[in-house]
Amino acid sequence: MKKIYAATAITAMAASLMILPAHAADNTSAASTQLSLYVPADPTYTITIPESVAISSTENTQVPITASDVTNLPDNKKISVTYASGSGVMGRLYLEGSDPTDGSDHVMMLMIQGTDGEFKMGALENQTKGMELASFTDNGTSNFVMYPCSFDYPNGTGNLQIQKGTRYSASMTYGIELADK
Amino acid sequence: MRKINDIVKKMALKWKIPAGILLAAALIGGGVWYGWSAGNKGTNKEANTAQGLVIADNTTDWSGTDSGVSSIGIRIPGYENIAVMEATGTAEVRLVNPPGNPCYFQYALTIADSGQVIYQSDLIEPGKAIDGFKAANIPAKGSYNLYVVINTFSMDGTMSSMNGAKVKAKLNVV
Repeated sequence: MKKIYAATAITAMAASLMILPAHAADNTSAASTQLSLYVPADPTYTITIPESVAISSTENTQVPITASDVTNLPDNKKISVTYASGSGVMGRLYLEGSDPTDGSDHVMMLMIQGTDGEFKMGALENQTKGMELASFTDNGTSNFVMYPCSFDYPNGTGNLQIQKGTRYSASMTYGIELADK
Repeated sequence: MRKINDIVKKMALKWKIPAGILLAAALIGGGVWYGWSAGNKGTNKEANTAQGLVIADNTTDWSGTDSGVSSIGIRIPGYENIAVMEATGTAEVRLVNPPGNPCYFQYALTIADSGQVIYQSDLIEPGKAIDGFKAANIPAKGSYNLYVVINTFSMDGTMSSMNGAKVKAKLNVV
């Protein structure tokens, strides 16, 4: 009889040991935490700005800006290309040139249009610096517009008139950043 | 100087030429030679040192990640985050001039708030890159707005300024 009790007890213990791991596993599963780590890759892009722009003396000039190789751009961001400064005094945007016949110096202010559709005079640096010229959320090309301010003064003289024979030039610095949409 | 005078006097006596004339001729000759030599040196380096700019000698070849989009102009790479080690000043970032660009690039990294320049490169040719650099004047650990200013210069020998860019990025000092 003792043998039967002993055998029963051993069988019961063995059975409980077999069951325990299953219970233990259930408990662990209920308290488990999935660990993960993800940092989004930095956005990459290339912006192509014009090497040179021939400003028309008769009509508005379209200036192309191109975005390419755009990757990992967050949904709430855009690539914003702005006017940072021009080669004029105080970063103003105007063309400069000398008349080869008499050596006299001339300037020609430029008007520039941003994405808000409004034209602003390049001489007013407080208004033009930082104005957005193009924005992108993907690869593509966008144009902004410039024209000489002589268009607005058909009867102007001096620096309000394009001096024939004078080769005008200037350069621009573009601001580029990821901005909120 | 006394020795030189003695030598000149001896030569003058030998050839019966006044010592003063001989000494003056020697000085003028020396001056002309020095002037010619200095002028020549300037001409040879003119293309590279106009405006104090030199072509960087620490660049590597860089072919870039060309998507096949062809556009005529100056290609400006975007920068978002630049990390600099506070202890050493080293930055693991590649400052590139994409292949095919018609100009030299010169990078100047400036902290937006203070205007402090932490790095300025020499001229980088198209298709070349500076793989990492050592920054100076870096602020304490933290995150700062940074301007990656890209100045461009023509490659026709005149080194005239062309259209450039000012990319807004984040400087992380760690």
